[in-house]
Amino acid sequence: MSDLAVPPGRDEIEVAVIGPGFGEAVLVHIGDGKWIVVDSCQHPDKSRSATLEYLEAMGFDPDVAVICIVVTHFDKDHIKGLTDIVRAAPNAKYVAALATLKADFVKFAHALAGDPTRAEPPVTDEIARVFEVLTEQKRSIMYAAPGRRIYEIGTVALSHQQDFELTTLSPTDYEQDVFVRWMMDEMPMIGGRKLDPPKRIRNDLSVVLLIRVGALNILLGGDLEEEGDARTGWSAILAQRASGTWAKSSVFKVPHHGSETGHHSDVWSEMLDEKPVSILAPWFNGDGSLPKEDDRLRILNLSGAAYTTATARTKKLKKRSPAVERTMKETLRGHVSDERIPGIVRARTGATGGAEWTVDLFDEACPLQDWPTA
Amino acid sequence: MPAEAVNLSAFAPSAWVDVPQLRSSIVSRLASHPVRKEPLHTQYLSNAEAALPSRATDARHFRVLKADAGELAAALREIRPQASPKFIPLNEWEGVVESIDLDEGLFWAKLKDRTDPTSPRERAAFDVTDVSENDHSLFREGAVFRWLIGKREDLFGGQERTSRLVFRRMPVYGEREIKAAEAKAALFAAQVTVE
Repeated sequence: MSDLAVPPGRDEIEVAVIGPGFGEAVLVHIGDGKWIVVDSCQHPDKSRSATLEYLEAMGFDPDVAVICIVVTHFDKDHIKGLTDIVRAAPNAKYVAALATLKADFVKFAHALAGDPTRAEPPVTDEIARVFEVLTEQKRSIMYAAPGRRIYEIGTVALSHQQDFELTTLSPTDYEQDVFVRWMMDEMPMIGGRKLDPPKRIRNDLSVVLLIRVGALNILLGGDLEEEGDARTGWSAILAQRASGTWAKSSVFKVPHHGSETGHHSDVWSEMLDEKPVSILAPWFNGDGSLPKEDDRLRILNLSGAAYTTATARTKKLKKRSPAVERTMKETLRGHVSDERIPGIVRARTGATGGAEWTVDLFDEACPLQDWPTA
Repeated sequence: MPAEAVNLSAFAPSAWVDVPQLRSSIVSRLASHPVRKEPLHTQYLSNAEAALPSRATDARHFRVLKADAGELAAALREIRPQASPKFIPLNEWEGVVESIDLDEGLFWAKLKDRTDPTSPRERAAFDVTDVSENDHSLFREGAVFRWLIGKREDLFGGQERTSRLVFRRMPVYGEREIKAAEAKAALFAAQVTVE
């Protein structure tokens, strides 16, 4: 049994995916104790970001260790605890979609945040807090765009001597425009009724990352989905391949919890090794979950090895008094616990490449073939 | 026309006033009252309908016309002491409507137990018919509600278990809140450099 607290060596590359708890998060160690963190999630029983807890368990100080924070998108299952990370790593680059850095979006988040009477704060509370910290810190922020190099080769010195670069592959200008139009339609107005923040159904704004360290490539798919439209989703990313500069990735954070809507067959044939290590964090709501059985079989078939950060197991609900239990049974047509038991999938290999990835599973994580029950 | 305020708190000891239930309780009490007069009954209800506040959760008072006040007040004085339908809450949740499936006649909601905050978060499917007529205008995705399970004492002192959903009348945005959000956005734009 591997120890979660053992940090990667200075010359080791690591990809860790945590989830679901409240959401999912990814960490990539590029060498010398330097980490890229992508999104944030929180364990149900904890009040801090699981990303910070993971780093601190290995003895890393986030202030020094985190060199870059990427927010793929502002869905509630990707940002819980993000404020903790932004505050703990004030010198890290902060990267997000341009549409989510505009003053209109900041206004949107602040206007929809801050109802102290709510038992469960809406997602905009976290977003507004992130903006407050970024404002306090007078941060310099980079926006994500197709083919944009966030780190060029040579900008981060690493003792293993391997080149490192980080490129964002999305979202396109078209996708940002669509998002902004939606946001302006939903913008709170004087006299308008306060409601829970509107749900953004489309994941077209999700940032996809390509990380290269020497000969190793890692593709982090965020929640990007495919719509069969060359201006959006994976089609828009694949349209960038004309440059022909992409090497294939050996680790794939499968997009959108492994769903069919996040799948594009050309991604597997043109952006990934023949049998990559695939990692996903599942997703649940009351009447469904991802991945579905067809998704599980498809990903297993395309991968050399595939893992999920969690099973479908949930934290047990407490027993209530017989009168309450009886009334609940008579009233409800469905009832489930909404607290997932999270896990971590950790893949490590040497920075010089050539070796297989060593995968360790912690807590509720399991091979995808065992999903959903393990 | 001058009016007389009638305190309804006796009919609604809980903060959660179920207006249709309240109305039916009043009708039932008036119907069995010896001094009730049919026109008065009609007038009473008609005025009550018109005067009930739209924010039912805040309803404590409504007004009846002075013309009938003498006889009505006598009736109410008679009624009030025995008018105490009590709701004893056993468990309470805050819910947010996640999705509505009208074909199936149900809606899913996220729930947080307010009676035991250490209880895990839940998701539950309710029948849409459980949404009271009064709350129909509030029922939509993102709407916030309370779910209460409790015991209700009927007019004869009997008890029955009951479940009720009470949708929150959310306030409207004021100019100050929108301006505050705009000011924070302007500060962000001024302090943060996006490259």
